[in-house]
Amino acid sequence: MGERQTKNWMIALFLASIACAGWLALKQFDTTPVSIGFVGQLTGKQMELGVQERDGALLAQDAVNANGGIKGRPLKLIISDDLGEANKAKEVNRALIASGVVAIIGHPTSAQSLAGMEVTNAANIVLISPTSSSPALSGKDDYFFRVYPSFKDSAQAFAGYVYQKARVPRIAVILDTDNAAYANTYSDTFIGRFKFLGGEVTGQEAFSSKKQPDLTAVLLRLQAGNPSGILIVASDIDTALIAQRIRLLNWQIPLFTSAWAQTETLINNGGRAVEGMRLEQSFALNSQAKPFLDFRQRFESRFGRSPSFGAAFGYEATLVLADALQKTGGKKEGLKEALLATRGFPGLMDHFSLDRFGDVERPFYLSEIREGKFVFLEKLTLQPNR
Amino acid sequence: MKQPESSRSINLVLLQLIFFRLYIPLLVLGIGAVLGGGYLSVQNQINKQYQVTRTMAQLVEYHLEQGGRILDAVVRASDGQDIAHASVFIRSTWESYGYFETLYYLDIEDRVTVLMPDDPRYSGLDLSNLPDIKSNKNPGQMTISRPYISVRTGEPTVLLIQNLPRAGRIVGELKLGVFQREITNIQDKSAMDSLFIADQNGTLLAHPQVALVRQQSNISNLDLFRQNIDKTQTSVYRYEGAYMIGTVSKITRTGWVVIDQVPLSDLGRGYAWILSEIIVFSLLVWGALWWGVHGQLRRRVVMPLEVLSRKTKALTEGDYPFADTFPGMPQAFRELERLAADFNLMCERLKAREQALRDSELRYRGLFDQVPIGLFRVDFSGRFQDVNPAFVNILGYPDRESLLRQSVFGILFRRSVNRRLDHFHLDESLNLAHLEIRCRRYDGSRIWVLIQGLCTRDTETGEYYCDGSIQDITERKKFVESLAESGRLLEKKVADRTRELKLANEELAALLAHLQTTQERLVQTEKFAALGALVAGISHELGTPIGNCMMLASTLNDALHEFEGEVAGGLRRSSLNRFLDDLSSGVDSLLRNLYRVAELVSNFKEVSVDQASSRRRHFDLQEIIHEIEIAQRPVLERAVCVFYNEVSAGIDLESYPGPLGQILVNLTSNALFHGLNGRTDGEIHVRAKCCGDDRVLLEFADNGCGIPAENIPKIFDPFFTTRLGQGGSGLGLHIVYNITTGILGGSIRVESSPEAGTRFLLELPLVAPIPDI
Repeated sequence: MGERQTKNWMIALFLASIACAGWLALKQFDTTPVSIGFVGQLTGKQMELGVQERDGALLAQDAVNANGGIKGRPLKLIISDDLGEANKAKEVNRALIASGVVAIIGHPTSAQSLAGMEVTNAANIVLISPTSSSPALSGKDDYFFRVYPSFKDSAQAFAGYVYQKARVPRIAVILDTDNAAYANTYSDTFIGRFKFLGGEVTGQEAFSSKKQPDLTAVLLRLQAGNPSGILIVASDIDTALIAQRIRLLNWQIPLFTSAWAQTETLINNGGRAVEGMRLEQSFALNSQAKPFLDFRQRFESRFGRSPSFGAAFGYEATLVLADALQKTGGKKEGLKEALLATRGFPGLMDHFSLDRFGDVERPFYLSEIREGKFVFLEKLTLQPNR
Repeated sequence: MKQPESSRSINLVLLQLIFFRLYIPLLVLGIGAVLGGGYLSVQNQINKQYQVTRTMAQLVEYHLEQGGRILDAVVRASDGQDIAHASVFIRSTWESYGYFETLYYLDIEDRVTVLMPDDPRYSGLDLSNLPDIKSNKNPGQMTISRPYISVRTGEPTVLLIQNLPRAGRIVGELKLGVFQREITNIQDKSAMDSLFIADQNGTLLAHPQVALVRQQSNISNLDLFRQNIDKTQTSVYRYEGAYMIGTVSKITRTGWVVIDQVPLSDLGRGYAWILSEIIVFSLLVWGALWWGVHGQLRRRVVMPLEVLSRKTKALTEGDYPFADTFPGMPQAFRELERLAADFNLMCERLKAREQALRDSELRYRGLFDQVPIGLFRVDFSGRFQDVNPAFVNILGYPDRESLLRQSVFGILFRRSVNRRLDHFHLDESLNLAHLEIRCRRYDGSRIWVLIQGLCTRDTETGEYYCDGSIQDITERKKFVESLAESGRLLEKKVADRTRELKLANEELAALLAHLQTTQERLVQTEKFAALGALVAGISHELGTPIGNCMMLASTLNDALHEFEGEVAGGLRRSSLNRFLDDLSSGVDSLLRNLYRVAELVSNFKEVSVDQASSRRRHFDLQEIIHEIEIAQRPVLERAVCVFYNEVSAGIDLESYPGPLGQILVNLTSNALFHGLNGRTDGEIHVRAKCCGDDRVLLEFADNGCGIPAENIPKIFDPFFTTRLGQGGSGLGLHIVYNITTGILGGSIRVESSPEAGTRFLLELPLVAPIPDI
């Protein structure tokens, strides 16, 4: 009798342990995080954009997880640094794919996105860029997506503004070839339109930010062309330094810059030199949209500083991706189709849709730096050709 | 005896004993100790974290202090000096201390005048928009900026800003590597912990993973960071899916925080390892222990037990030679040796007992075979298990075997069985006591048998049997039947005799009725005789006075005629006087006789008085007797007799006081006239006592001469008197009798003796019967 009882006990214990193990395994299986990669330049002088996008993405991750995650599973960002280099971009993308991410958010700049998508397209992994804006990325039916509009139209509109409203007939262009995919295309687009409108390009100088060249010499060459305005196509810190150099030459000339430089770093490092600089912005600074105000408040509370456009687009890119992942149940299979079906997505400032190539149409704005602050001037619209 | 399946081998028992009573408690003890150690270790960890973070905070403050002092020195050296001088001093400071990545000398418009290391690309830069650069208003007081990315190096840094007294500022980009080194130093000592420094917004300033600092990672989502910390605080929280124990210390000067955290899982991993080691080790110990004990157990306990078990088996099967020899019984321990000795003893006893049993069996078998009574054993299916020769003989079977093939139902008549037993089933409840039943013999003839049997249980097989005996009672049965026949004859005779007696009885009854009729007729005759006697008595009683009267009347008539003759002849006086004398005496005598006649008539009348007309009422017996006494007093006094009324008061009657008084008067005059006649010491006693609830016994006694015994039956007859012609009418007591038994519904009897006088005993109902009307 005693033994039978013992035996029953042992069987009960055994079953209980199996049930326990099974439950734990199930629980483990259910709550495996959905891993997505984040790639951007996080170190070096041009890190600001990448860091902002990363922080935006982290904020989105927290928001998604606070709302129950992806079908009950938490969303987990695996953060990687591409150092702003094309080769590194490919390398980290490979590493992320190998680690089993279902998609990658990145890269902030067009050059890295062009390089990185070679890897992700080959692996059929979705790469969604928060801020790559080169038209070179447009119109491709591949695994690349973005929530940031191509500057194809905005660069032309900006050229129109510079020539017509700012009354700059002769322009000189200085651009950073480290992000050639952006800078070259942008300057070409701008110049094409500028010339089409009747303007004159007095000079065009390229430099590599990584090589830390003596910009004074470059600027002196541009000055020799006697332009009535300078367009800088470079990162925030480089734009700030170029502006400072120009003023140190005591060259009082109107400055214009592309949306690439639209961060606080530009102002922090530009000092008085960037006062009056006008720039293209993808970010309606005066937006009173509730989601945006809410986002700003949360961002400041979390990171102790204001969000830049990078943070906002990083946030949106992550939300769009999470939305698609909800449809696929956290799987990478069918993720592309789910993303392509994104229509009227509630962004921070407007609703937007992804077209069949995974691109978006969103507005651009014109701002000016006044007393260390971005000031909204107008919405950039492309005037029809005459 | 079968072994219960659930019993365990001694090996298993011991295994379980060691496991549950030794191993588990020891294991629990071990685990408890490890857990206790774990708790102490957590406490230790908290203390250590406290020390580490405090130390680190002090180091950071020290470095900031140091930086501030260096800047102070630069400020003092540069103040008022020209640029060249200042430049030299700044260079020497930058080179010798190595505290700063870059040292800037800013002019009044925050332009870079001198920077160290010297780089023409940055000279003249306007740094006025750098974070917190303008927040320093007071000369002599250092400002520490938020972290930012150095424009020169592209690395994160914080600025130490000191205003020059006159104009401009000295700004140093602090080497965050200083903190990084300190962290690494402390980190080396404890590999598990993660020690890091963050600014007031959570941006990392130093972290074991340098990349996180360079990437300006923010840890403000750490619970520990979000707590409103004052100085130093420890807590347990969840971070990135893992539980952490962490301590935070605040650096008051800057609001920065130093955090030391360690995942609880890391902390517990060591203990988990120790725990698993303990379990594995203890399992090994247990296994070794069991293995060692198992061998000894086999040699010292199991083997001897097995030998004993084999011997027991041999004993069971009756193999005494094997059981007696004791091959290889190993030396074990005292208890077992004692068991072996006991076993041997048991073996001998069993042998003896079995021999006795065998003898007994033999005796029984002899008895079984030779007893003239048939014995059998039958199982519940009805099959014979054993029968003795007598049984075979009774049933007339040729041999035992052919009978053993037979079922009990084959030899019993089912119908006769069913008739005698309502439920004849072969089962435990069967108890055959004096069952007389008919059986079929082998040759088909029928015999009567007496079966006695009892259900028994075979202790070996556990099956039930019916053991019984059988006796041929056919002869006895026949005798009993003839006896029954005689009984029936006797019964018939008795019945005949009874019938005859009944007839005789009826004749007797008729005779009796006839006798009664005759008796009544006789009574009637008797009554007529009495009436005749009465009439004769009356005639006799009346005859004398009436004869006297007639004689007197005729005498008077003669005298009258004589007187008339004399009158006619002339009346003489003497004739008149003689006539008057004659007349007077004649009339007197006539009256006397007539009075006598009247009295007699009155008495006759009383005898036949209509008793129903008497008045019925309640009265007290004593009062009535008292009234009678008063009424009779003159008579009593004349007879010199004392009347004692000894009736107590309170005897209430509902009756007829008049007749009752008549009785008493008659009895009194009877007593005075007969018993007390001529005596002067006469006494009359009247007593009464209740007998029962409804009757009273009235006693009327005198002390007279009594009544002669031959007269007693006749005293209540009418006209019976011993003083006929002396004034007694012979009706007094008759009247008493009539009243007593008539209207009063009672009874009367008399007791008398010459010595004690006469006693009349009247038993009267307290309530007199209502007369039929």
